[in-house]
Amino acid sequence: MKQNFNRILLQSQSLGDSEPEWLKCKREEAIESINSIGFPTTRNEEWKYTPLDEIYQTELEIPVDADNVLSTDTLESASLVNEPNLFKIILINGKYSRELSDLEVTKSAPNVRPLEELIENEPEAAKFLFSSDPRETFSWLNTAMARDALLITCPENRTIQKPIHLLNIMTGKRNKLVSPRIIIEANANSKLTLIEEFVNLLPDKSLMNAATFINAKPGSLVNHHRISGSSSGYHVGNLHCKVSQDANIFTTSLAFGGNVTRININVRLEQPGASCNLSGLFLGVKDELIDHHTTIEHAASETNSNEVYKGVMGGKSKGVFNGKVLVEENIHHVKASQNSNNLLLSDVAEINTKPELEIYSDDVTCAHGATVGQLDADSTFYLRARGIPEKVAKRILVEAFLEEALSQLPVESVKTELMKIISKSNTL
Amino acid sequence: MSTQTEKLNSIVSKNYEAGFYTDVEQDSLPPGLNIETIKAISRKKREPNWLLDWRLDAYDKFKKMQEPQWAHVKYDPINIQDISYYSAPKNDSEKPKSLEEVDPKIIETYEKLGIPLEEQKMLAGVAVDVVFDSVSVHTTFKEKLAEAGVLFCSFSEAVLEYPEIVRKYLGSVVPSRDNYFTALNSAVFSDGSFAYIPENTKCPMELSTYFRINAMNTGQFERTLVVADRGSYVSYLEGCTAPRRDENQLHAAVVELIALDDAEIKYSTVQNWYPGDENGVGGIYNFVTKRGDCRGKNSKISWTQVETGSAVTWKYPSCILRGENSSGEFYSVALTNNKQQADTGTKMVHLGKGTTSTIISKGISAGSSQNSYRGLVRIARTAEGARNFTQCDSLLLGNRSAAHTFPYIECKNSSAQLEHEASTSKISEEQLFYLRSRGIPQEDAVNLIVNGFCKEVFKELPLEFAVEAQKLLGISLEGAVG
Amino acid sequence: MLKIENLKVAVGNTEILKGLNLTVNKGEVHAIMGPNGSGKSTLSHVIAGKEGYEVTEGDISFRNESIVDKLPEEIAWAGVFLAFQYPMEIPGVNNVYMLREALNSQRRHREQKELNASEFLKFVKEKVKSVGLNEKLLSRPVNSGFSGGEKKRNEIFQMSVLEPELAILDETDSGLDIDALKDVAEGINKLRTSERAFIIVTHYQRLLDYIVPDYVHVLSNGRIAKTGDKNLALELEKRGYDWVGED
Repeated sequence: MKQNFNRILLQSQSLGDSEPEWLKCKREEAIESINSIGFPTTRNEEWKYTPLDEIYQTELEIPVDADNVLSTDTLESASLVNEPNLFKIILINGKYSRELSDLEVTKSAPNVRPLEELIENEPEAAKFLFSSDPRETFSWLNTAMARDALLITCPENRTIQKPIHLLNIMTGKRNKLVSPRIIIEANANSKLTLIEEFVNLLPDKSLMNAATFINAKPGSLVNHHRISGSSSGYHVGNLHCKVSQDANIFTTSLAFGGNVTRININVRLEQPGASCNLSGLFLGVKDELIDHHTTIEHAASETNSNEVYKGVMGGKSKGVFNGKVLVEENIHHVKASQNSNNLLLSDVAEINTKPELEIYSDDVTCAHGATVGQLDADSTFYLRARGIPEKVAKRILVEAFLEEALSQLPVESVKTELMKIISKSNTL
Repeated sequence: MSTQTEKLNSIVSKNYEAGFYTDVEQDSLPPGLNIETIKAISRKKREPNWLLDWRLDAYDKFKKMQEPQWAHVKYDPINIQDISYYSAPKNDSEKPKSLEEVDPKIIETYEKLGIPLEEQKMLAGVAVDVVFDSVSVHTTFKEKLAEAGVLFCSFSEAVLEYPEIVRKYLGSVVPSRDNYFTALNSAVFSDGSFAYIPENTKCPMELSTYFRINAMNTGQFERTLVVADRGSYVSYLEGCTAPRRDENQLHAAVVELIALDDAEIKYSTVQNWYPGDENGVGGIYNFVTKRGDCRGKNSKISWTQVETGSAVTWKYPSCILRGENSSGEFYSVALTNNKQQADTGTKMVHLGKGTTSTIISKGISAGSSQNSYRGLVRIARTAEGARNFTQCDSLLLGNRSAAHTFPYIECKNSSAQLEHEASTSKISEEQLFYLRSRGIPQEDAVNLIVNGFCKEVFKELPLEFAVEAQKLLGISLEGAVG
Repeated sequence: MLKIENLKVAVGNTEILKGLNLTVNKGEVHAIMGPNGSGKSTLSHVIAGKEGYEVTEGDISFRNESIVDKLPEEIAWAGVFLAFQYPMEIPGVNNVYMLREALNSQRRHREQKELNASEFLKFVKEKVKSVGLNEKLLSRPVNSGFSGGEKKRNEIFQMSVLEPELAILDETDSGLDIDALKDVAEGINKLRTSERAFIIVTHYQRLLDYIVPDYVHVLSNGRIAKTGDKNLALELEKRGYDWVGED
């Protein structure tokens, strides 16, 4: 069943002939790990609601240079983000495109270096791009397959004023497996905002398997927004964040469209004073399956976390949210709150949610809540009694429901786009 | 602050009051499980062939099954060949006809446990069926119940006397293939309790089963079957204890409840199996499958459990809400201390229109224990207008204990409304100081707060049981806080 | 009755009380006033035996016995009552039940006969009338869902049941409107006897309009900076706390 995946793994090994030894080694290790554990199926607790059989059965190709071409017109229409005042970093099929990116060389810009450049100039720094090794199949798959990787650093004490827009585009011909890999280093007391967007221009059965690593050093503040909103395709996103002393991460995930979307977010609060705020929004209008699995690890005393995820499922869509909060042994003064709120707007849609707490220390205040329901009938009636047509009334209420998860997003155009999807949909 | 924690830790040294052993002659099968064992049990019980076939079919399934691994508990694997599957007090191989024929030592055992079989129970209005190791030793108040048409007896008697009811309902809620332990139980169960409440009858007294494991190397595999016919009501109580031993003993019971149209079953358990000592040596493995089927419209099944015993608990009393407007309830207090591990919760499966469920779970972890709530609320596409409310709270006493919450919520109907709330925190030092400054000693203050934390569940228990439960909680916490 | 000598108290590395002296005799009413952060609440907590405070020097004795190393319940049994600034809500624990536990613990300790549920209920019903607490609140969980005024009345009610020799009222006036304040003060005045002493800890003078103190102390920077009679409170009201150090 998964021979197609095995074939592509073999193929990838032959592509990497010119790579340095350490990297070949890393990739081999990753492949070995995959072979020992295998690809997940619905029998696996973490994947019980998310079947991937279809993509396992598809013959996927690794993109070649000829695939990595894109006209400026296509590029402009592909993105949901239309704000002018942004730093732009473009990756085509996971490969950094210097030509299409827009990073005026000023002191306030982030430092952006792709794998090849680092191997040539700073071989030690290059190793850093592959140093993280989350124990999870799709992260290993990314390690094995990512032909490029991008290191974005924000120097100590610097505030990058303009948001950085990281646009990942999957394009070319035939079904592809694309593996973007991005490492973000926010050095001590730095501040930055990132909008990571994933766009698929390929047929249904392509897989974007992205891996993003964020390292928030002491006192830094990282605002991160993740958008996966293509009309089709499979998307697996892995986001791994480490938060140091008194650093703070805000990360939002917006997921809509696509065939199957699975996003794993892991935030580890490593030192005292570290905190994180996770928010998310997932929206299904036809037959999408959107699955978020988040883990927040409190590994130090005086750490705080706050999480709000909102799902709106219409049509025949299926939403999954699994949020785990873990408090490790022997730590003190931990606060964690988690909420999963869901609207089920069609009789054939489905939602599965599991807010988990795993607590190994006693000095904690943890709370979670989950709700599933429909729009409040009284509120709908109230609006209609004021002369607002039912459909509009419902849209207004859905927008209000989503507002909390969208409030942190620095780009208006994405909100507008989302609202368009909501108002166009017949199933909400 | 740290002295507070130390004191909390030092109080965890519990006293298991039901840990004595009764020396009566036992008629036991040698340890080991094979087809012959099953045939021997069936023969001893003079069972009809259909039941033996049912057992053998279950055994067939069991052989192909694996022990479940998903619960958040760790224990040494059970060797099912080391267990004796039948043990009965010898004098009792012929079931006693009256109280005089029961071995006085057994009566003494139950008196020590505060379960007198004597007629003074009349005052409490509780009818008791007592299961000692594998067999039922006595059922009180049979006559009075018979007047009302209520059938209440040991499972073995029911098989012989009411075979058509047993055959109709046995395995209809928990099929033998349901899981590893239900398959094992179905193959080797030796006794248990049976109750049938006829149409439009309110059972005149509370029914009660008392389980005790006495013999060594014995597993207890009892089955309980309660059928509430249309428009009937019954409240059923269950208590359990075992002697203190260094070996782990397996208890793998199955409880099936069936509520037909407009019927209501209230099932309360106070589980106080031997939990092992403070180093985690010995204690009962309590791997139990309890499930109620709200088969009829407007039926109701309510589970209330107070779990303080067992070394390892794996237990999810559940409701299948099949009938229109039927409702399920689960109220639970689970206390773990020392090295105890509990993975317990419920499943509410909403199939019918307008079905409702309520889950209130209170977990208390002390010592180095692991306490997990695991619950599933599933709303099927057919469950128009279903409602669920869930609240799970965990209280941590001492910094070596752990508390986990794993709630699964699956919803396929857009008119359903589900709400889940959970919290985890340690016992509040401010509350403790407040009570102590009023002159209440620390240990009593902790008890007060813990009892207050469990109030919502205790108020669901019949009064007598609630008093018992509060006492038990106090004993189990003894030494947990200082 | 209460004698505090050169009391120094620290929380972590911060010294809060820096050599405080205070003597309270039978039947006296002492008001302790002071700006926020002067150590007023620390003083009441330390007397009542709360953990987390370190007495680095000096002593507190009650009826000629040091209580510095005593447990909160032991101090309560000795006859000290603390009315909390923020009375704790204790969900699920019935008000009357808690109070019976408290009284019987005290009686056990004093080798007196314990009261059973019905004796206690009778006893309590008389008390509840005298402090003007709504009787319905008796069967509710301790302070849960009580209004600010109800919580403070409940504290006074508890005091009336436990009959202490020394009552410490920690900012009992905070969060009360004028009517509730009058009611609470009236409740306290009824409990004044020639045997019972009071320490009234407060930021404002207004409570002292209704409960007239024998002594007024100004707590500043961890010490008693000034002592006077009730007129001192009026002066503080007019001039604020800043002038105290100037004299």
